[in-house]
Amino acid sequence: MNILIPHSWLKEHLSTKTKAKDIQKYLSLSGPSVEKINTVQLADGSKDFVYDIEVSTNRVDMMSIEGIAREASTILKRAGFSARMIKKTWPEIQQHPQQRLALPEIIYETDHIRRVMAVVLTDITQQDSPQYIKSRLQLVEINVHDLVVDISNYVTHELGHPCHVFDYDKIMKMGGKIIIKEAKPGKEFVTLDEEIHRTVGGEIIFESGSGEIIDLPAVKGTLNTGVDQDTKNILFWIESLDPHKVRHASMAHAIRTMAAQLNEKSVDPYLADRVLKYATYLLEKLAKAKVASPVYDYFPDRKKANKIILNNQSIENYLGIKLPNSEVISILRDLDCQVKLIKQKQEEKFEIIAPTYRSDLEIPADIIEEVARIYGYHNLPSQLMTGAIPTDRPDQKLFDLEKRLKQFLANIAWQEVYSYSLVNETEAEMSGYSLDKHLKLQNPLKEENTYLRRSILPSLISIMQNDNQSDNWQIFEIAKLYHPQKNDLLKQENYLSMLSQKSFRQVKGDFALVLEHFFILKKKESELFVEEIMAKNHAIYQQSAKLLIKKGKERIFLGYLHVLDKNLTAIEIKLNNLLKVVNSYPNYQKSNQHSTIIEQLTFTLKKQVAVGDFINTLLKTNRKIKDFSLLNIYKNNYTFTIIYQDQNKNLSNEDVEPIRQSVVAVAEKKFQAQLVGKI
Amino acid sequence: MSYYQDLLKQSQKLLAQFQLELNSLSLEELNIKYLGKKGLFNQLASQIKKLKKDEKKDFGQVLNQLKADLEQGLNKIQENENQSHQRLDLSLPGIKQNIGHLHPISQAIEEISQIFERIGFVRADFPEVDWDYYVFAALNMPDNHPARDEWETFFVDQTAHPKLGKMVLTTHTSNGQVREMERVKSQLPIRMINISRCYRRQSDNTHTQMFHQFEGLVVDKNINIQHLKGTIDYFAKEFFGAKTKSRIRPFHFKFTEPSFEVDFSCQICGGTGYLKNKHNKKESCRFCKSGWHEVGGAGMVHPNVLKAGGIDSKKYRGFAFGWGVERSYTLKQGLNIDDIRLFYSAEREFLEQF
Repeated sequence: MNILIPHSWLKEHLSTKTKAKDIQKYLSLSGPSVEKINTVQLADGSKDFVYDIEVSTNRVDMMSIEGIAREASTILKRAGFSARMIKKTWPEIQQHPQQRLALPEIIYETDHIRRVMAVVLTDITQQDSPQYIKSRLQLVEINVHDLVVDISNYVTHELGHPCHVFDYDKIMKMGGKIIIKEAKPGKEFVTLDEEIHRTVGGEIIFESGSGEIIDLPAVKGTLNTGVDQDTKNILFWIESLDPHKVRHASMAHAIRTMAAQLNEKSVDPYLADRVLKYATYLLEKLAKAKVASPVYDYFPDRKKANKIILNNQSIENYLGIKLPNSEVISILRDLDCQVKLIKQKQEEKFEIIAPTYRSDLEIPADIIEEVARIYGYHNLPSQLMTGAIPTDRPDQKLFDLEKRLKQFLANIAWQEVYSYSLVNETEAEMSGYSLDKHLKLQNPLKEENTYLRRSILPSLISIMQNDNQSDNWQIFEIAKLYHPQKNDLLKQENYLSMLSQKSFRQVKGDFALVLEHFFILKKKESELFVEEIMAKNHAIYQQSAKLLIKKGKERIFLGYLHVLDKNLTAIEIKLNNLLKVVNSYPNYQKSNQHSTIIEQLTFTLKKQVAVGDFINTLLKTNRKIKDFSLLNIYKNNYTFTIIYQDQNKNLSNEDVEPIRQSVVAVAEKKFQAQLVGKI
Repeated sequence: MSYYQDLLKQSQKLLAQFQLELNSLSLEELNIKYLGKKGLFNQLASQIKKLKKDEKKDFGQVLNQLKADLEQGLNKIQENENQSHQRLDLSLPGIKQNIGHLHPISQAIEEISQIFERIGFVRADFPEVDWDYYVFAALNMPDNHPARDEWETFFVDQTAHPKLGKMVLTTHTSNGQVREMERVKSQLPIRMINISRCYRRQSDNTHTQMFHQFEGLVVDKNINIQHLKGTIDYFAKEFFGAKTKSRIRPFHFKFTEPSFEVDFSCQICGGTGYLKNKHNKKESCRFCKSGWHEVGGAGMVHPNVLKAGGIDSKKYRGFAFGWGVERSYTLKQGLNIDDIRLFYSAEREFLEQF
């Protein structure tokens, strides 16, 4: 919450010569954050400063001129400036001897009421507010209305407790009763700004004797009892409700008035007396009103003061330095706390009673915060902690894998991207899972970000489509995917997705490089396998295959390879599975000094032969075949380079002859492959 | 013409041919062609046996001279070649390999992780979509508490868990706090860093629906505010530069007590709050608030949160902080990114600058 505080208005509550800049600095360091100072030119030509102050939600007591003055007086004094709070007082409210109007009958049908104060005023002269009130309301960005409403807003801003003005005669015409109760659902009411609402049930409402809703208390007034140009008599009203009830009503009807925002944060009910006195004083003085009733005060909820007990050691525990008892006491007393030193189990302790407006002070840690901030966080030393480094650590392997993987892909010309994990309907469906198999947001901000994605690829495809330059771009992203689980939190696992405009073989080659980088393919027993499948969504993925690592007899599923329309190739890898096969070092192979024989063979292969299988099979025909690799393809003719090498001797042509024979034999027998030429 | 004369002519021809080819063949080629085992010189020299005795003597001298000439020629090239190695035009542009780029967020995450790992923090990983309990309730924010308003929460359209509440997108990385406490099962200390995707229902040039936060959590005996200040100061200097100052100011979060807002001094105006304009006049720095940047929250872990994590708050205390990765990164001096939506735009022109 932010509040605007004009310097001149503040000075009515704070006696100090401190400059605006210093007020900003020291308030920010020890209290509410003064985000800006706006310099304004007033109508009379003079200058004023307006502080724009952020007040945290637990400090509703600072949402007023008086609240900020109180805080500033303590903080400035501590910072070495001369500063003193001026507590304004007003005369006691006296009923006018010639005026007598009965208060409406107030009936309580709920115990969610902390306090109600009210008084009837008569002979109201509706007119424009005086210039100083108008100009101050404008400075703090509150709309100017008529005098009566302006006074209620002015007093609220100055003292911090919202108040309300009813048209007295309207209430009396409706039966002269105010029945305070919890609403049943479905009842209509019209607010001051002529908006129609229907109760949801459970909000506190005021009803007239005839059963009409005449106020949504602590949130907003209703049209049927509001003041207007013809108002002669008013009921000036202050209520304090259970903050949860205020919150409920305000949220349910989406009415976020300043009154609601303050009241839901538990404004001090003890403030009501002074607000009523001040408002009555102004109404008498400016609107020529006369008090026509005694002051009504219903205050069932006088809470017992909460005693907080703590010792100096616990303050030291948080601050890391010891403050003398006297300093602690002086800081707390400056904050209006009652402090006593007591003995408990032979130990000296502070017993603290916080002022009624500080309902945020509940536990010892709250008191420690007060002492620390007024002492000044900026006055505390700064140091790194000593102490043991944790030995029970979360597993770091996946972080390490991701880091190395990203860096390696970037190094071999893949661009990393980050895209939203929230996708639109089309992108969700592209994952291959139907829409109802996706988790969906209840309250999306934009329609295109509604579903929690189950595949990164559709996002990458969109990125690629939006990119106008089509020159072999390759992108990748690592992110969590969100898979729903029955009766449990969803499964959230890290995936790598890659999408490239380069040829399928280049992409597969890059992926093989990744596997080599992690010493997967360098281990002799490991091989990369593709197993063609019918993709779940073959409208987008023309051809798909599972990627598997054969490790000994086991086959570990890594993810998918997809060939898309428009020359795009994609790979999607489940990182936890990749983690199962990665190594951080190779199996070193001693270099073989014996000479190699290198030759090329060309085979004519039938269409249905998978070249990968062909290579893997032929490579295994003899241990002396060190490498069997595809050199080039011409129509159905595939030329392979074969390298022969023996562990124990230099091979001769005569040694290679039988191996070559068996290669050709296996090729013909298993794959019906025909050798081109003769051996 | 006698055979002797013929040989003489051949030797002259050989030298002439050699000189012609000096500039067109490489040193190695010349060496093989003229002075190799089967080279032209040896071929010519082998003819000597066909000459008469006195001719042999004369021709021997001719051959010696020829060889000397050839060698001299080759030496010259060798020298030239040595020199010409040094005479490359080094101003010629280099030829680059294609490379990709790590996304700036990855770079920032890596830098942040390393900074904290150097002082004993360990990275942890938690759900990005979690139960209300871990995101709010366990953090001392009961259902319908006004403090929740500050977190513009996305809810997942799913039945709520009977105990843990609704399923929500994590609005901050703090859902990791109680989860980490539960994981270590009071085997303290905790010194963790959690960097993760977060989601809030907001979008403008400083907010995106999805963003990244990094969260530090330390729980141990004898932890106090000075350690929080020390850690923040350390990070500021490592991440933004040695001259950077940091400060903590009072704030309010339900899950820390005391709570702080953390500011780092502005790199652009040097923390003064003023810049000089074209006319050398002072004007307010438009990048910061009076010399400071708010980067996020911090605080001493609230006793109720320790309790929710099964930790005895009488024996242990802790501190925590959580800041935006994108926000912190954009505060780096001279980076000049004023719209964080760029990070998620996937624009090549943007990405390829990193």
